[in-house]
Amino acid sequence: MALLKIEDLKLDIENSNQNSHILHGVNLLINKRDRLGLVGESGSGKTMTMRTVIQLLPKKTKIISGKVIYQNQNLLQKTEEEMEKIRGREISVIFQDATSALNPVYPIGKQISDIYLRHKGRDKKKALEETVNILRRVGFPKPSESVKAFPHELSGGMCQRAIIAMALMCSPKLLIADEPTTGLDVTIQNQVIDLILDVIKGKDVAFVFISHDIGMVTKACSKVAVMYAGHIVETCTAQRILKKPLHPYTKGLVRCYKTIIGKRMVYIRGSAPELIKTISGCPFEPRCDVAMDICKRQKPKSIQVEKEHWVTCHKWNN
Amino acid sequence: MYYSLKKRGNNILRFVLINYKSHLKLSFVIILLVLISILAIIAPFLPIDEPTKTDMFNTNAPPSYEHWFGTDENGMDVFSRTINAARYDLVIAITAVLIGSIIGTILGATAGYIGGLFENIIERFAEMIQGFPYILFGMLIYMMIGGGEAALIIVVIVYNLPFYAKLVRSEVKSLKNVPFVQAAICAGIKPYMIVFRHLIPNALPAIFGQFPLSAASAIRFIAALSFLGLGLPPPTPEWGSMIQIGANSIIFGKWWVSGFPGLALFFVVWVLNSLGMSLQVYFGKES
Repeated sequence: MALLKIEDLKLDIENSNQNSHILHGVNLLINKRDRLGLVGESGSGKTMTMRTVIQLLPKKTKIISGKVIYQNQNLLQKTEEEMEKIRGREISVIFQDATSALNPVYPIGKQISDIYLRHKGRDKKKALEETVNILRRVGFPKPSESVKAFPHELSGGMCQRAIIAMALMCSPKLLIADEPTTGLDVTIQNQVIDLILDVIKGKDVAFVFISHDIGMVTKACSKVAVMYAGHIVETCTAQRILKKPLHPYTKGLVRCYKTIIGKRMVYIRGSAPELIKTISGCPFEPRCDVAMDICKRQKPKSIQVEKEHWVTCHKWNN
Repeated sequence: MYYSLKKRGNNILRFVLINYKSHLKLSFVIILLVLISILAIIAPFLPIDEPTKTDMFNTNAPPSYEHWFGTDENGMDVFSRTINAARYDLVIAITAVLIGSIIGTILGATAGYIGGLFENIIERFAEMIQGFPYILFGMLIYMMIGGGEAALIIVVIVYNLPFYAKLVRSEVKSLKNVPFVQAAICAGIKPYMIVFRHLIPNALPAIFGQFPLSAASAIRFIAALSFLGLGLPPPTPEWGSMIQIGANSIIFGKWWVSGFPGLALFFVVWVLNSLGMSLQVYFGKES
């Protein structure tokens, strides 16, 4: 059952002289109750893809082509008012920097109940009740008192919990976590991910986890999509991607992740391509160790290697 | 910037009372302002002459025990008038700046949030007003509705509007990209709620720091317009018109008629300006 389907999404940022190409035809399928991890280095278009879904793109971005189909409706054709009803209620987002994602001048309870009042009715008493309930669910020890707490009175981990509570307030169908663990201690990182998984367990929620940390993603998700320079280069199940990565870029990522302490650090040589260039061949070709002649000339197509394992590479094209 | 308000802004007086040592200038200026306000409030109940009581046998008298600041050409007590004038000047200035800053803030926040053509129109209008000399505008209002409090209030409001609109617009522009505003948009909160809940409250420290400075310049506006006869009519005690009454007799050595109201004007403007400066330091400290 497809919940969200992104088809051939192409996105540009219009500059004064030259456009930079952000997304080059992204295809992504998210089923109901899926847990999808979106991995890639910075600038690969992970966040942009998800921002297109919630229609919260920066100025000067232009969608060249593509569809974002959410429950049989194309979100790209929706008006701003229609999107306001979808954001927060159907699709909600967990932001990366928790302490600055809360308004410092209002208590957290007010901010959370605001979302309830916006989407689910005007009863303030009920809203407060629901807020206390959700705070208890995300692990606030004294929820009825924490409602009155200001963000600066809470620790980073508690703020992140409040953010998660905000995102889950209206029990959305799709939860997007945009690098929720960046900026947190390693000990709290695992806690936060566990908490998110725990809260959505058994619920009708699909979870998209955007991160550059392939280890974290494989722990939390069942499916992983690897992005590189605006392309989805490999889609696979989480267990398989660590054992049997097929795309050279994924191989590099996994090798970096599995670096053994004491040995020389492993990295992928070169750097991500400039966004202004039009890529005629495979985007990873300049950094690829196993590049062939055809890689320069022709864009690889997405090939299904096995059930639930797609790879976009010429090497597997036979 | 947006952290400071909730932490201390709400109980700034209490904070200053406790930490007066680290904010010496701020506490000093606040005490002075409180004293001025008290003096202005109790002025009518003090055992001094009525500000408009004339004494035809005692005109242009130099300062004496009976008349501390002397009397003017109509024999009115300059001390009583100087103190009573604070009532008029301060009340008009504060009312007008308050109204002007509220409207300006709302306009500026909306312009900054919506952007595009609306923002441009507001900006250009603001520049148009700021480019127009206020004395000419005061004359225009005087011709339309005559002098008095209303005319002064209108002039001060009109000249404060563009200032606050621009200030808040720039604050909102930078606040718009702060994660919690983005998060609120992501949660589907309506635009007007975002402006009034998230943007304006976080722009308040900048507005508060600016408020005394605007009040100071408003008092200067009022005095200047009254000096030219475009503001409060003469029998009403007002610093500007009092200076005007004595202006002609200064060369004859009768300095006290315009000297004392001039000093009072200077003092109040200085106090308000220092308050504005120290408030900006106070709010800016944590950013």
